[in-house]
Amino acid sequence: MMKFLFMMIFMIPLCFMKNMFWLVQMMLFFMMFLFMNLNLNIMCFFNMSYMFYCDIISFGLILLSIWICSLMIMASESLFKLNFYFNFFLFNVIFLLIMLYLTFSVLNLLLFYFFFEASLIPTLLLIIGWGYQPERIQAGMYLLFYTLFGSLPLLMGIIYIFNDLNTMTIYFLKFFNMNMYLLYISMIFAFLVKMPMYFVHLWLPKAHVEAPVSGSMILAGIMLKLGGYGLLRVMIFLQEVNLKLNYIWIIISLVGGLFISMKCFCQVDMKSLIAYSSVAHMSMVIGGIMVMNYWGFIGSYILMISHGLCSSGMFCLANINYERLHSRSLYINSGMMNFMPSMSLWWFLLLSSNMAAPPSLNLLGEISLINSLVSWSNISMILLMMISFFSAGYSLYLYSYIQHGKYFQGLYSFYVGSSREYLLLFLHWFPLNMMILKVDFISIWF
Amino acid sequence: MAALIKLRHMPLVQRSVWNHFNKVSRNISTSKKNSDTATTACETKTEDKNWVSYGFDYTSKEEDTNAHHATFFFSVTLCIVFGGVCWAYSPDVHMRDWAQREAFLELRRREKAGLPPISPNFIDPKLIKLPDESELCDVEIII
Repeated sequence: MMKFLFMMIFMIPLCFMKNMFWLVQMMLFFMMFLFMNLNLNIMCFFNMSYMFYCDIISFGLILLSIWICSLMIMASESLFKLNFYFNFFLFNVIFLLIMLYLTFSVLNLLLFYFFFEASLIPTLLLIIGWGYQPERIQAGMYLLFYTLFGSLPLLMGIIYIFNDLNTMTIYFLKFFNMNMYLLYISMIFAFLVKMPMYFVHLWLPKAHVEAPVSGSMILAGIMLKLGGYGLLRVMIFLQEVNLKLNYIWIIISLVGGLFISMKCFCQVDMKSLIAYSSVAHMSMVIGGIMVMNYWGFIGSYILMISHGLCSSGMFCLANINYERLHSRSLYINSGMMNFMPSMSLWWFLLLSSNMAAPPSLNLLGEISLINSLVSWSNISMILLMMISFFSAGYSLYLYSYIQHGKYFQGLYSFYVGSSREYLLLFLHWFPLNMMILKVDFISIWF
Repeated sequence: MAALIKLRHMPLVQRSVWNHFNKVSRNISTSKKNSDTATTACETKTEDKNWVSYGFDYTSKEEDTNAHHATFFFSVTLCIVFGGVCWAYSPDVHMRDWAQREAFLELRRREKAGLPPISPNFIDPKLIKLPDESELCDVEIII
């Protein structure tokens, strides 16, 4: 635990030294290797220390954040080539990784809140510092203020819990049952904004689209899952009120997911389409957590991990196209199979995982979620059927629009995919489609 | 298949290959020839001129190759191959196999003894303290 934290802290001076861009990325891969293999006998929770511990959900999400952060650096090679403050960029990435690592591994609810908010700062710096359009300022404001609007009641709720129970240790909260409606709303609202649920989702398309590729990757990969992780932790002592009120959130998120899936068909911007598909997937995750089944929890956790890999990979693909054509528009990016047929393979693999085609991890998550939501109520079958159908629809729409058809006549010439880009996509796709062979490490909770 | 049957000729084949290579690599050189130096100088120049980058560094070929080798080693060899082997072959994750074995052994024992799979009084009823009827009158039932 401490060893990984110190490894990350001491990578910070390394970011500012000369010629260390690739070394930082390799150190992160090495840390991933160490973390993955040193924690293999997971019983219930492990690595107990003064204020840290690691549960199965923490373990998987920390692995995902280290993996996505190292892939972020690999994807941002253009910053290194153009010499655009890449030292500070590396520092931002490492700082964000430290905040995320601490968020997922602390034992204390107030510390979790502190690091949850602190991870917003490097994200904001990434969006505003390295984004591409002037709209990124408004996007940063939306991101910041939507999250802060939800999280002030969360802070008050945490302090109220401490006043009442005299403990904030997450592990001990399962012995209590807080039966207050106001506390319930204030605790979960921040996570619903972060997830995001349908009515409070407006920050997501803006922030994902205006962010640079690394910002989009980390937002889609991990920041959304902070909300899911928070919900999973906080539901433990709010179960009674949740059973009375969960239908509100399930209905809003499922119907909202349906509307958002339909809105995906109207998008002209590639990244916007991928961002809206993230909202649709997360709507199912919220539904799965709120029904309070075991399968719901497991399905939502698996879908969180698989969506992190899949969406992040799709943003990488969108950026690969953007670096060559300097446009994210679907009209300009059409017919790419004529120029980069090897990239069509990766578009196909990641988009088929996005629509939960076998053998991807999304399939397992969606099946578990469908099971749990249908067991809660048969009527949700209709909504789930429509969401799954439309997610297949827009994934196919994106693929066929970008790859097939006539290409834009205004293109002049560009470079076919480099080895680094193929490796980036491979490292996204491989865990996604191979982890289904042994899901034990991320699917058994209690 | 045919090659497998003809394996009995292997010593013959080996000898002929060895002889061939000895004949081909024999050379007698007396003086430094003009053609020798010219060809070696040409090779490095054409190699370096139009090199295709791996995508890591577009200015220096050496840096690019180093970064390529290192990145692939750390990400694919270490994380995916070695990590995948450890994940796939790690013994008894979450003690699940042990728990299932114990459960089946217990079930078999109870079946042999004629007991039901689990007794209705798994927890001693005297230890369970239920609230009175008076306390429960206005609590709603959630299923």
